Amino acid sequence: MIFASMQEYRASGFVPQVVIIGSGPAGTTVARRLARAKVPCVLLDAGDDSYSEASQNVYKGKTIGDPYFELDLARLRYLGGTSGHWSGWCRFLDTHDFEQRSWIPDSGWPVGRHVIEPYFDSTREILGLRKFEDDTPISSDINWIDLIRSEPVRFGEKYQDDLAGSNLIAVVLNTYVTDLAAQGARIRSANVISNRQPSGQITAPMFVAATGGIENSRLLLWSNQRSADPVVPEPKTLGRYWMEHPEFLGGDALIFETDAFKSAEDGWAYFAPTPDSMRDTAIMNFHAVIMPQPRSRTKQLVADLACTIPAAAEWLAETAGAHLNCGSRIGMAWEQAPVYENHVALSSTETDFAGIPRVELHWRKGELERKTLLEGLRLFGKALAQKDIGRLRIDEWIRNGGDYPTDQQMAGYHHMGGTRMSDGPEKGIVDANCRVHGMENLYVAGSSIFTTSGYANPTATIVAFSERLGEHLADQAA
Amino acid sequence: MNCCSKLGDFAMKNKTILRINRRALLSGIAAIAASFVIGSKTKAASSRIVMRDGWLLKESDFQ
Repeated sequence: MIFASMQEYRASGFVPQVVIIGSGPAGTTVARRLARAKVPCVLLDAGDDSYSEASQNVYKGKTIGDPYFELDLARLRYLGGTSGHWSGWCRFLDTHDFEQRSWIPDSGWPVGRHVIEPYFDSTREILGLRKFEDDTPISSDINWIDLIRSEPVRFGEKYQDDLAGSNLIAVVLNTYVTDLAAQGARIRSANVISNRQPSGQITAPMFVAATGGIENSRLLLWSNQRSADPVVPEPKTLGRYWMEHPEFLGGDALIFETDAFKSAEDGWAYFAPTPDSMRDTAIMNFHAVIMPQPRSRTKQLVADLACTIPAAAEWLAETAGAHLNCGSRIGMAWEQAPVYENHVALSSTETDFAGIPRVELHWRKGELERKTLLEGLRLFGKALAQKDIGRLRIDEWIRNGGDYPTDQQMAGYHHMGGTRMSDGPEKGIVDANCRVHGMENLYVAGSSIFTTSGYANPTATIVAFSERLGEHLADQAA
Repeated sequence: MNCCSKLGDFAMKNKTILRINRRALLSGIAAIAASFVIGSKTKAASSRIVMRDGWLLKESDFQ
């Protein structure tokens, strides 16, 4: 069932067991999993079934710190959420991403990857993914990895008919949950505005915040200010440990074996460090991608390298000349350290149409990110040379400690942390079951629960955790 | 102006027949292992890695 307003929804007499706020990949996945278990739920989205400027305006905000995207361009506020501009790259977080690493403060999840592995098959089905190939070592430090550039699933488009036909999922569009109200250790209700009109409350035995990697923090921060009893009883880390994936070009390479590692989907080749090499160099996880360039670029690179090693001119001409398109750019995307100072806050001056404070994102890359970029490129370049796969040149600004360029991708549009998973409330907001510490019936879904970020594009991991949460809620409802 | 631009021209013109895609004949680890063997024909397998002008090179590259 899909309703265009709270008024229509109320007229239906539908009685949900779970209120899910947000219809992106996380919220929609939880709802569909609940429906499979015959648990009725309501799926609220603040936008309509397609993009509108008016809805999107609520996502405007301010970033303080490093250059970043306009916040209203970095996510989408309508049915299906930010999957509407997802580019399709997929990979689950690595097993070692979940582990505590002594050189990364505040790393270590309260769960291992094994808790989501039972949901990998259903996740691949939801996202239309083939099976991932195993990592394959190319050296003792570097693995070839399978990072799939899939046909991106727009959840609103792909699952709209499924949602409309369900008697167990009530989608309510144009309905903005402004805040949650708690009574003791339970959420009593969610206050809503529907079609820009105050529309009372909605209630159910359980609530799931699935509004995105920035909005989950905003919703809970504002709720904590509004509710008589706290919605997040121990909010020390609420909004904190926010993370992105820095993404920059790292250098050039002449790759002599141009075809050996290419991805079937995009012709690029992806690599990542082994756990041992990360530990030995005290860096975070990353992936390096080889992106072939036009022949003119190859010619220039051959010439550049010959300048550096004239003695190898003959060998270079023979080897590089045999592979006419071996000149490549090397892209780097890597993990960001979980740092308390990086956080989502509520603006003290700017509000949206409903009077709710806009987002203020405080975000900077630190020394560990910088070290990971340089040392990661060194590891990768070393592996290429050792195995005679190619030769890599690191860009000058990275070698010389220059500023990050502002004319590149900069980051992955991946919003993680803010309501991170932790053993206790000192270091995070939700427990191993995605339940808010200290609350009986409030859960969080999406990448805001990520304790650390790895390098993998987050959608596959979001969906796997959402499948798991849906199953857990179904068990609770039984 | 690059001091060795003629070398780039030479490299591009030197090979006019595109290499047969060996990858198409192999799969998985076998292909990767094969690439190591093919690559190692040109240079010695073990050599210390040094950085020069930003390039990560084997010491033997300079010989």
